[in-house]
Amino acid sequence: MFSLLDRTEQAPPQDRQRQKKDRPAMYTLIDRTKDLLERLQNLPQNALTIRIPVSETKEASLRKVLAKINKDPANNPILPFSVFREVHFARFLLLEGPDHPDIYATTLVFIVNVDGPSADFIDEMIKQMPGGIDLVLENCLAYPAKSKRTQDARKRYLMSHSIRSQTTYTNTVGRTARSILQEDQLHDALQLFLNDLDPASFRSASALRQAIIEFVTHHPEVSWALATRVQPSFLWRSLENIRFAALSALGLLILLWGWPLLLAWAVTLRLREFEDQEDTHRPPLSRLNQLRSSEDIAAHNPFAAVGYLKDGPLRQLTARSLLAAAQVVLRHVFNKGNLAGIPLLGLDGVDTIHFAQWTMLDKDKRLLFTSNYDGSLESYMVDFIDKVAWGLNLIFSNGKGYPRTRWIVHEGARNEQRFKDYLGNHQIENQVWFSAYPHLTAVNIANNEAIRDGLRGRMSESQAQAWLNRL
Amino acid sequence: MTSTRNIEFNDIQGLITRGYGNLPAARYLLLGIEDIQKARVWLSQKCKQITYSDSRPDARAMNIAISYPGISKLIEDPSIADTFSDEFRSGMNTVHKRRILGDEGENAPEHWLWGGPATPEIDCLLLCYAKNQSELDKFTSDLEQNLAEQGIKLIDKLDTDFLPDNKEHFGFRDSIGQPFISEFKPELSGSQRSVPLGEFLLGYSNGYERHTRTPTVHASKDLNNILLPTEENSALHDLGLNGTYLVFRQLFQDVPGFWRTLKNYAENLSSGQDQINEEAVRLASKMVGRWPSGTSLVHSPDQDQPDVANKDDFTYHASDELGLKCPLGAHIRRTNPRDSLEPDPGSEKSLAFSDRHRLLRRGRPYGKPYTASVNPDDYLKDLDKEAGPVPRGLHFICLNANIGRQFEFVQHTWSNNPNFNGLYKDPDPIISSRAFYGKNDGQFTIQGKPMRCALADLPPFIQTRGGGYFFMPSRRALTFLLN
Repeated sequence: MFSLLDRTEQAPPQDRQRQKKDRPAMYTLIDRTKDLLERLQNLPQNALTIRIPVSETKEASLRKVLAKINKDPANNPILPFSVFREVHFARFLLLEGPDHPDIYATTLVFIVNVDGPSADFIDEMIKQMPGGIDLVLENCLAYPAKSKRTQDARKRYLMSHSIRSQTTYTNTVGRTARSILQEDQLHDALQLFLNDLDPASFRSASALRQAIIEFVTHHPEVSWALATRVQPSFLWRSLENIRFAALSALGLLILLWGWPLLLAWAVTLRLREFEDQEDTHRPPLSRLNQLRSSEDIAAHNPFAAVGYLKDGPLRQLTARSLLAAAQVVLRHVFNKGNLAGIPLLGLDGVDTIHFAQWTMLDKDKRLLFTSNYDGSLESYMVDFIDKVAWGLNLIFSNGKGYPRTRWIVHEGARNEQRFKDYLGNHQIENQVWFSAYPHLTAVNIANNEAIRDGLRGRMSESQAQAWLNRL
Repeated sequence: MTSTRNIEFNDIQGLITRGYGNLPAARYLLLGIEDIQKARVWLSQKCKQITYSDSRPDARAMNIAISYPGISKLIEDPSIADTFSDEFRSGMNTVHKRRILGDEGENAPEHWLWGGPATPEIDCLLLCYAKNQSELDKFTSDLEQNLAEQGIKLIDKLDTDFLPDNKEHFGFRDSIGQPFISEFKPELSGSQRSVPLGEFLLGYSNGYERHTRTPTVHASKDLNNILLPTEENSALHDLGLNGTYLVFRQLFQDVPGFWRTLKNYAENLSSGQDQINEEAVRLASKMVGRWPSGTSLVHSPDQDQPDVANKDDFTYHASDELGLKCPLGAHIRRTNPRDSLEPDPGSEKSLAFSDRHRLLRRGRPYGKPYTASVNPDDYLKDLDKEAGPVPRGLHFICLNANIGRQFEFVQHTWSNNPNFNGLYKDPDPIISSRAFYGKNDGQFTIQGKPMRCALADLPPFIQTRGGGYFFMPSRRALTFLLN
């Protein structure tokens, strides 16, 4: 018995290679191209996702380590995340295998939203807290033996288990965790300054603004705010525009040449929708209460859900294509705080999501969705139902059991109770969750940024008043 | 899904359609079932006195609501009790409910007078109303007779006190912004915005044009067809139809503490000694969003104007987008934001969004008022006349079809949320606990020109003293439950 277990543990699983081998060649090619493009044109914010098989015998001890970290994610002695100034959010979750409970294949998923390339973050983490990483990873399969744990070995191990997300969303591309924290300090300092002011002594909004600017100028702990924000370079922005133009042209070509095919696809999907099986069972109350027990301890919450894709290549291809299209739109259009709002079409956006990502797992059998959103889960679901049901339907209607849609965008999430049940049945717990700014909503962060920006430049009296309204 | 069903008012308990304003005396009996057989007999007999919506009582009224433990005792089949809503089955005491409702620290259920883990489990709530106190005393003493022999334990009796002019204890007129439901007042239909009936009554179309999840019984377990089938599935009989959920919170109000705090703020802000009381009332009104007379700050931002006739006829976006009249974090702007929030403030969509988070309030104050006039000006003359805390406050009762999307959402996402409406650390100045994200740091911001005024270190003014989730059944459902 023991020898058998030992052998499984010693056998190098080479998860990634296996995954690649099993995957259709086309995707490998696409992935390689993407890798290359990414290196050429890196994004300022990136999501690192690492998925590692857990040793069955060590799952309990892994859970213990994770629970210790989660007691104080910012300052625990194992992986004190607040050390990393480029981290926005980090989480660990344990994901049961696709054939659970028949086959044990639980994996540890580690997701970090960082500023700069994710490889740099791995380096940084290995340099700063190798011991902490070992404590977590030694519960995973094929982690190097103690004597072989060099910086390089650790890095190779982590890199070889990193997986690609098909779609990522960043509330505001280019906004760093460092600037969010700095601008929060600025906001606090200005609040204290204003608390001691008598508004009656200022004859105009402009005069008051001037007093604030003087205060900032003369206080070194905030005077950095007068400097221009570090923005992505002109070259980077131009390349982004070219990229978007090229991809839009590609999309247009697909539409122009492929419309008969797309039409046939839409009609086929519509016909299939009649046969879609809705998940009608209610999530057990004990499960919901367990999930809720760790929620609402900060201004935002982490969400994680995993589900199976509907059977058949049509749904798989649909999911892949829509995720790819969504990635283009999220990167190039909805990258300034407002997700999915298109006033011209009467579509409402949401401004409560910090980061989100969609990751295909297990040879496209399953989809993992994770996000960091403001407010309670109830308000998050209400936002989904009320404001962006169509966008949600586009992606998630490819999931098994999702409330039935019509033409992919209609109904679905609008079916309030079915949708809430569906999420309840698919939501999973985060074993560890870290937020670098737990008291701030995305709206607060955007407001702080505008306050900082308003310290510079000329303003008319009404502009100055509008700026003061932010304070 | 629009309902074609005729509304049977004789199936709907009276409290759902009216607040019994003509019956100023009220008392709530909290009962525990000790012997289910005997209790069933007693309840069946007393339930003949229940008031339904087809009549307007002028001497006495009685309504009944049952908790999840009570339902589980009355229906032995757990598969039926499991069809009730998650929030109702969870109750108010879970770790998460405490966190979102603000029931931690001093407010924790362990300290509650009733409804917490330290006090007996409540199965049933009898709400009794009468035209005057002596009538009420007679009414409830009849009910209480030989209770123990009937297999029922009287756990607590909650008295209410009638305050003139619909005031609550801090001295403000209450119960103004009630949702209008045109089905309940067809004669006024079309005169004002109506909230869908299904938001307050199970079995009807709600704000998403669907039926809110309703408790059901398989047809085979309702062989006498006491219940009607659901519209979606004839094999399921609707235990929820014409019923709703009732949320009860006993909220202690620290009246002298509230006005002392306001007076302190006023002393720091005001220049003249003689204007301090006036300034305190102004600041308190900013917190509430209404003047003591109930007139909204949107109608009259600078002083009270008691003669504004329709105190509920206003919206925020066009007249007060920035909160210069009614602050962005004021109590009434959070509990009913009207047209002020996304999506698309000022629009029909925004109103419809708020309409999906409305509460039908049926609570009453308890305890003697600080002064008989219930007038802040009189309160402020002497804030130290009471040696210690005097029990007074609000028996907050509200009705809603979906506790999670309505009561809990309003309490958590709007009231207790310090980041509401773009704010940073401003929870509801009146009703919230001040603890959030492990900190204790409440403030209240009054938007202004050229700059805001922030009132820091807001102490809590209310304390939770008891509470529970109940189900208010229809006549048919009650017959089924007691059968």
